[in-house]
Amino acid sequence: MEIFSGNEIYRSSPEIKPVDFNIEMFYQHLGYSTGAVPGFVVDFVQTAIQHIPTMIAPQWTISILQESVVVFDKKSMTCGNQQFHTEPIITKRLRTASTVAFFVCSIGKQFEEWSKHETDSGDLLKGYILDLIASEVVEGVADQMELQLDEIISGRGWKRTNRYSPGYCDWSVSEQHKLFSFFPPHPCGVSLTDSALMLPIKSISGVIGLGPNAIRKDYECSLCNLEHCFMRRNPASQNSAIL
Amino acid sequence: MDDILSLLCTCVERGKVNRKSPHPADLRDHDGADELTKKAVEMGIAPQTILQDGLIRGMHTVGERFRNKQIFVPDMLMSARAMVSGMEHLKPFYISNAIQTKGTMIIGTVKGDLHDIGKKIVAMMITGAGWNVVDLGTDVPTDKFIQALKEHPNAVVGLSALLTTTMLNMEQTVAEIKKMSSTTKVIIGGAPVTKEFALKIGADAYSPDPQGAVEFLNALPARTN
Ligand code: B12
Repeated sequence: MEIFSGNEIYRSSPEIKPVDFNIEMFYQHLGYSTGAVPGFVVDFVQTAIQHIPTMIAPQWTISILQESVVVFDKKSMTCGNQQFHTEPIITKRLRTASTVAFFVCSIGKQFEEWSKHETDSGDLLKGYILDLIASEVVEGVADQMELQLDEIISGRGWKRTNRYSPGYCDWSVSEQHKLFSFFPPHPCGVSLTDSALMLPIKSISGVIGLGPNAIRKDYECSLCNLEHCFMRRNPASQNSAIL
Repeated sequence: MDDILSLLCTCVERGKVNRKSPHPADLRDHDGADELTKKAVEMGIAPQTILQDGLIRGMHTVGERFRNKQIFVPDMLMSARAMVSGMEHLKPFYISNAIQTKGTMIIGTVKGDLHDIGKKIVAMMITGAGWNVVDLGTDVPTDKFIQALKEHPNAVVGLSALLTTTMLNMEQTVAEIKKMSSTTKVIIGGAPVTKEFALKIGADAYSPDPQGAVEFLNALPARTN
């Protein structure tokens, strides 16, 4: 642990093994909820996930704020001198907490580059599958990060809310610039472009409410208003932890 | 003749690339789109007919099945592989003008955004519908779209974005395109894009999926490149 601008900073680089990858869930996210996954998909996914340990460098950085600096109102959250327009849906859920942890998770750029290489050399099928595997893995990394957070807060009598990310439920994606100010430069090697795109792409940022009364809910797909989301279309994935 | 074209169409629909390919299992050791297109050419069937009644017809069904959630992106991309393997045999006929494309689509991901795959899937399906596609890549500034339009004045333009921040850059690109040529059609897409946003920024269409883009293009009056 280190202190940055009064916030507690925790970093971790966990190990991920191919067995940690939930293949069944992945197939559901590809759309195959009935179990009839084509052989060419199965073959390629099996091969690709063997490269997870060597080509994926999972990392996260957590920044826990002091309770005294966090104030909520109905649609925003003020942390020291930064006001986040978290908007009503997310603010309502965060308000059960007394402070927050910001986080950034990433899996590095190697897997992403592999996907790009396949795509650029004309194999869009492989490129697409690799891209989605990488997305799935970074979600898994964020799940693990939440477990580490549980350990950190367990001795303090705190619980936590779900994780919420800028870009969801009316919270503007551009507020990631404010979020990044709670970390030393380039947390997990992630940089943010002017348009609030994180690089490497397979990265997630967000906030989690912490405190004795913080409430965690089952994932609520219905919160999001993304009309054509392929995750939403697939009823099997509605309870999964996608962002 | 109809027989071989129907077989070709089935190979595209089912993603049967060539004789060697093991997928789908029930077509193992059968000719794929590769061999069948070659045979069709050798039989003297007009290249335009092979393209239209074999490959494009197959891809049309694929697009519809995807839209109806009967198949998913990997199946669609396997079919595209089959189509591309057939197209290889038709390449010389594009050069000799024995095959006419339906028109040109210039496509790119707008400035500030590096997302590529969704746009590439759309480009692939548009190629499969018989259009020539000029893919400008990602992080494409307005100038580059304008330049490409000067080279292909009758082209339709497709813009892609995956973040709400970069989606806003579509507005300027659409405005500049329309300023240069008010008749140029622009279609936009990508996860955060909506029909309302398309209307607001003066784009001609929005589609959440590749099939919608194909339908939009095919409904336009015939054009040259
Ligand atoms: C998987 C995923 C992730 C993965 C990978 C992201 C990636 N970019 O590779 C991870 C978990 C890392 C992630 C992270 C984030 N994500 Co995300 N993610 C998704 C998700 C669920 C799927 C995206 C995907 O891979 N789609 C598959 C590809 C093939 O589809 P596609 O690109 O959309 O293309 C298809 C169509 O859109 C269309 N299309 C595309 N272009 C065009 C062009 C034309 C002309 C036409 C007609 C059609 C068309 O056809 C394509 C083929 O079907 C979407 C929600 C969704 N259901 O789409 C959110 C989504 C893209 N993410 C979102 C957000 C906010 C984020 C984060 C900012 C969250 C955060 N703060 O951490 C980060 C940003 C990461 C970064 N690098 O900056 C938002 C973006 C909107 C916004 N608010 O800006 C979305 C839309 C979810 C939402 N809230 O509504 N994400």
